[in-house]
Amino acid sequence: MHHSNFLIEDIPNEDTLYRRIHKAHVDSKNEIMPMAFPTEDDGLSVNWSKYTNAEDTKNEVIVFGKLPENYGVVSLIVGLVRAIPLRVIHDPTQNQAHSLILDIPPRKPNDLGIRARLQGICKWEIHI
Amino acid sequence: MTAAAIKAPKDIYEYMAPVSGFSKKNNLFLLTPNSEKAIWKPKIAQLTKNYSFNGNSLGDVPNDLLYLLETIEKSKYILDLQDDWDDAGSEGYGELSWAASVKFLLKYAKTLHQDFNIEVQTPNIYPGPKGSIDILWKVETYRLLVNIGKNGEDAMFYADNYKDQTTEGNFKVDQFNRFLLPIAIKF
Repeated sequence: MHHSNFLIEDIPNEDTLYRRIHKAHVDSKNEIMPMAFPTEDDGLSVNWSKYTNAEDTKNEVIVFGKLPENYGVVSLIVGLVRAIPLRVIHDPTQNQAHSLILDIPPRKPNDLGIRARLQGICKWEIHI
Repeated sequence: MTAAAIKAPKDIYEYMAPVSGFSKKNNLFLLTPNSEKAIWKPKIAQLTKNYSFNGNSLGDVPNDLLYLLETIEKSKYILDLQDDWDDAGSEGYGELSWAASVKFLLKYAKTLHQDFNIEVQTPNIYPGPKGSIDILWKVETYRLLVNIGKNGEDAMFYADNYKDQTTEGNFKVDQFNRFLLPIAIKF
């Protein structure tokens, strides 16, 4: 988790999270691979819709020296993520929208289930 | 009609009889074939093509399952993925995990076909996390995700019906009990 000057808020279940999807994680039929939701020790980074939108989420990669055209953006409803069940927390950095999906376990059986279910509940906002 | 009444070339036909009962002898269950309902089935499925990569055999593919080769061939691009192929620092892939994935898929499909006359659904073979390979079956009624580890030995699976039924577990790629894996049946 990060520290910033922004207040950490509770994210309501009805809100939306945005996550960038790299073109290498999408197959020729535009299907998102389970790999797009990898196990990450410090959580899966997403952006909270209260402070951003899909377009800004896509363009945010410029800050990291990457090309926006290599990315699409999907949305996830917070309540559906929590129903998996995973934790969703607000984790503002310099980016006030930054949030984390937590409790994705390291490689073991239920890691697969979570990757498959995250893939199942996301919806394209900006196609690649 | 009984088996003895027919003189069929054994390399072309096989005698198949449904089981009508079983008995137990020396702690083994013996199946009793129902000869009244027996048929001679063309042995087409047992004509196979060997699939190999870089000189290593990855398995025999019965003619009925040759449709799987398209998805396998398509997945070869994974071997060309170098470190940081997704701009997120993911590692590249070795032949070990890819070859093990193909071996598993062919063995799994062949076993189900030979033992149960089931043709498996065609999966997608994807790059997975940390050098592993994902094999994903996704149809209207179920999804099954098998992950073959980077070492080509350890595998795990998860399956659900998108709603209220799930199953998951681990297995070894080289020796697995088909009865303990979900069946990716082709509808």
